[in-house]
Amino acid sequence: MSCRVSLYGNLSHLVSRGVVLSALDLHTLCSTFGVRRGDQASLGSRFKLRSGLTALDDFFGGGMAFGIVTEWGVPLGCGGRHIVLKFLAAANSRPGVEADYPILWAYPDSPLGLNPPAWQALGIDLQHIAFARTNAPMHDLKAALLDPHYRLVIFDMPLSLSRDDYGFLARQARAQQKIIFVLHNQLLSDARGNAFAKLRLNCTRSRAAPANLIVTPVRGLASQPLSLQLEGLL
Amino acid sequence: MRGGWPSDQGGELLDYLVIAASVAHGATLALALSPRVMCWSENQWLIDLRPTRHYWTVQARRRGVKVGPLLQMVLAEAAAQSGDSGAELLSESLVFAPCPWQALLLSAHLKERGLAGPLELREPFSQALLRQLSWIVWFDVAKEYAAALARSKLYGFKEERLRKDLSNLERAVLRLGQKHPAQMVDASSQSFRRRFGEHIARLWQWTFDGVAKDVKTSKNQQGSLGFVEEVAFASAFPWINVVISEKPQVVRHLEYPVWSWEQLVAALTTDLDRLADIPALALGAAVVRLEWILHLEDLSDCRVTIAFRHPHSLKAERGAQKTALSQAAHSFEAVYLRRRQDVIFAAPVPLIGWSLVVAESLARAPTATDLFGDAGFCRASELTVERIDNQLHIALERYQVTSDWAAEGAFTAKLAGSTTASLAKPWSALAATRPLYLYSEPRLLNAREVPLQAEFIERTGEVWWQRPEGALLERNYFLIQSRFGQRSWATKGEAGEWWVHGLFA
Repeated sequence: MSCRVSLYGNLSHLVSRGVVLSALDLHTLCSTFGVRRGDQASLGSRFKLRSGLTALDDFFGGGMAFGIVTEWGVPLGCGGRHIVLKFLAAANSRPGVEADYPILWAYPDSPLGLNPPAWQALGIDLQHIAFARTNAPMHDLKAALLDPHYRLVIFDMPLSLSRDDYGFLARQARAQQKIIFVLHNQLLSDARGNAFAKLRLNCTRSRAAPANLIVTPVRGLASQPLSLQLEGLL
Repeated sequence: MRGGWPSDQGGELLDYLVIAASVAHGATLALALSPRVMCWSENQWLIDLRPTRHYWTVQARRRGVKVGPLLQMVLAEAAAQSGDSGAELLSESLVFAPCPWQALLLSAHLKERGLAGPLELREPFSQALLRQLSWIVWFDVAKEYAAALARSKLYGFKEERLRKDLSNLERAVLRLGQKHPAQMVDASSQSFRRRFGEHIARLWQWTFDGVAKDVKTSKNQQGSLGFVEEVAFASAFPWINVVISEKPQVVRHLEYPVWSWEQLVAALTTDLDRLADIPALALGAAVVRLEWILHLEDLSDCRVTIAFRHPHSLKAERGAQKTALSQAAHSFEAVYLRRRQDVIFAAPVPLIGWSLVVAESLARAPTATDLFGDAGFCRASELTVERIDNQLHIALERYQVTSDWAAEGAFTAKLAGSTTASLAKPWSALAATRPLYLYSEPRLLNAREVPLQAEFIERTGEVWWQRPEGALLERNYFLIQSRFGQRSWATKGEAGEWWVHGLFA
């Protein structure tokens, strides 16, 4: 018991001092020393996935926290997905090392398919990403959501997600320390909120400077909109 | 004589294998490779590798060997276990082909020429051998086909009629003075159908074209699980499975009728555990497909298939049976709960019992596992991925890139266990300018969608040898932007119209 308490205390201290440990390392440490699940979640929520772009990481308070659902308004073809891909590319970028964060990307079953070479060119390691073509991701991918293996899960243009679905996703994200990205093909508004998504953001092209992307928080971040050069994301 | 194994071009096994050797326990040996084995003639076994092809490919990659030698090792071990001494002869008689008919022809041709295998039909050497096949061998195998069709008791089939058609063809070949079927390769199967009947036309088509258009594919009402149906061809090839022992099964008689998944899940878990305890499975055999036959209150039966993408060990999940239950739940919903969908407000007929039968299993030889099971050969994460794949209703897609200028040919599905190579510089630079999403067919923009801006990106040569005559020889790609700011990847047609091929991030 004392070992568990002291490990939790020490890890808490390290995290608060800004020591960088991967979430996988944390998970292994906690499992080995028997840190309780609630404490694990509390610790895990302080670990962040960093994109490698200082401005972007600072915008998210040091990176994207694990254990949450994030909702993005990213109209297709406007460049917004580059921000999500930047995080995914950084997640498994240690060469020769087994995937820290295996990725599951679900996209709708429509005539629009994928072009994997372009994903690889953007830094996504195809070794560590699995795609699921489905119009009912909650039904078809339940086993993958219940398992801790896929740490980064992306629902790209889901046809319909109910409040219950978001509730399930939020519970699984917290319990398994995943980050779940839900990418919508339209901009989000605060008129239709979502209590289960800790972060809600819109990404659009700047009208004044079309080479720039504007990231506007709808919920979860107090910061001002962030302007990023698209070139820097490629 | 040829020595060694065929090069593993393309990496994956072909669908069918013929073993022709005089060994005492041929069927047992063949069953070590796949649950679907047919005894074609005395000392000749036809093996359908489709249910286990993925499994063997993955096993070979994990061990860093080619698939052929691995199968050879498994066969040798099975031969040693059953006390057969002809293991060497066995490996020399192996012929792989995408179609059972082609495998049989090549096997007979090898025997006639006194050559030794193993052979794989996608190799140039094997294709040359097939072209040198004589009509005599072709007719011999066709007569065996007629006998096999008669054994399969195909409805409406008359053996005499087929034999008569065969003798007509023999006369025609003699009259034309032809020695090899390859001399008539341009003759269409329609013309064979007109002159010599349906069966000979089919054999003719299989001889050089294989079964690409004829095979009954795997998708069915249970969704995209991808298991291969037991019937190899749509009422064409006379496949008769070898059965050397009764299929393991457990039977459940329920105390009261049930109709929902929640009511039956506990009893089903117990039955899966009972199945795992049956000696045939307890010794390490992995299940490929279970048949769950539901006995309904109206005395009818409803068959639910529980199939696995990777051979699955029921023993390893004793007590929970998470993987089997996950697949069973999907199949139960797809087959039982939806069977009376057409009748409005109709409740399903309750179940009063069921039989759970191991329809296909793979007896894993010691080569395929070690003291610690699969864990000795692969990383924990690979086993986790296999387990999740087995639990999911849909197949996850994984890709690898290839060096091809055309966007639609620049990637293929990735095999499990393989590593993804990076692209060489010219291709990676090209990929960086291309979109994340591609349409399966180019989409024509209508007049209201005319782009505001168009910026030239690349010119790509067309695969002109696969296109109809008069088609464009090259494609000019542009980055176009709509008035809503959406950026697409498009080509311009001869009439100035825009065809969108893909969308950027």
